[in-house]
Amino acid sequence: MTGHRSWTAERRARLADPEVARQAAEAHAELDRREEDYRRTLAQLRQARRLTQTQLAGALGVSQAQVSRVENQADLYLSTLRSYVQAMGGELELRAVFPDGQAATITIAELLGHDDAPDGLGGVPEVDVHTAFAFVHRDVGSFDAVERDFHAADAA
Amino acid sequence: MPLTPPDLARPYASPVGKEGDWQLLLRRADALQELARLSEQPESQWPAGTAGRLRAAPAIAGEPPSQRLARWRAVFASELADLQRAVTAASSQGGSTTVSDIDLRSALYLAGRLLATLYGVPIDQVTP
Repeated sequence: MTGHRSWTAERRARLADPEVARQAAEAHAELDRREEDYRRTLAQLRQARRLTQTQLAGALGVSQAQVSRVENQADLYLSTLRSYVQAMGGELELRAVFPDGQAATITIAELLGHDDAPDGLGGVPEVDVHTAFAFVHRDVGSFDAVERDFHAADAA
Repeated sequence: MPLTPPDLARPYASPVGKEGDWQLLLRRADALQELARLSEQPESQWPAGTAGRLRAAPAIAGEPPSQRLARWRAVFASELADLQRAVTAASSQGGSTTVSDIDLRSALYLAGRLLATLYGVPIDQVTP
């Protein structure tokens, strides 16, 4: 016996303290709330423009289900987000704010390659081959479902 | 048109066969990139071949080709981006020799499905 406790045991011991457990619960709740805030942001932005998901879908040329998916997605391509905002008549800007008060607006066009780049096909950030093809495998697996969305709009 | 993917894990019998598929993937990636670019241009500026193929697609009755193309690009934006990124990554790091057999077959299949969906044809009738 070395006298060291594993991290799991240490964590359990700490959480046995009611005050620590309360703080941990609050921290988890805060994280959940922030995630929920993010999910609400796009939907609230759309609602503030008095647009329904169906109307926005029409402007984007996608299905309502696709808009819903974007609004609930935890992580988005900048190009997708830009298209979403542009369909509402706006322009997407990124702002970096630092603790010392300095701030800078990041140009989306530079991040995405160039302003006229088609969605997702211009200025795609480079990654290693293994990671890049992992996304391809994911897309192969989900292709049927996305294609159904596409043909559903065909029939509509 | 849901399709059963071919055996994507099947190894290539020879480097020549693999290189052939790699070249085909490059042509398909170029075609997809060109289609995405055209989706932002008026139909009047499309090459005759592209416009003709889209007008001939059986599934687009009642939907103008330009609308069909824009909708396709929007719906499959992630797939198009992922495919482009994979081809770019592999191209800059040695081409077909850096890509595993299953990766190459999967990418080629994805590119084929994207074209087949747009043109409303079975994947084995896709060109390039």
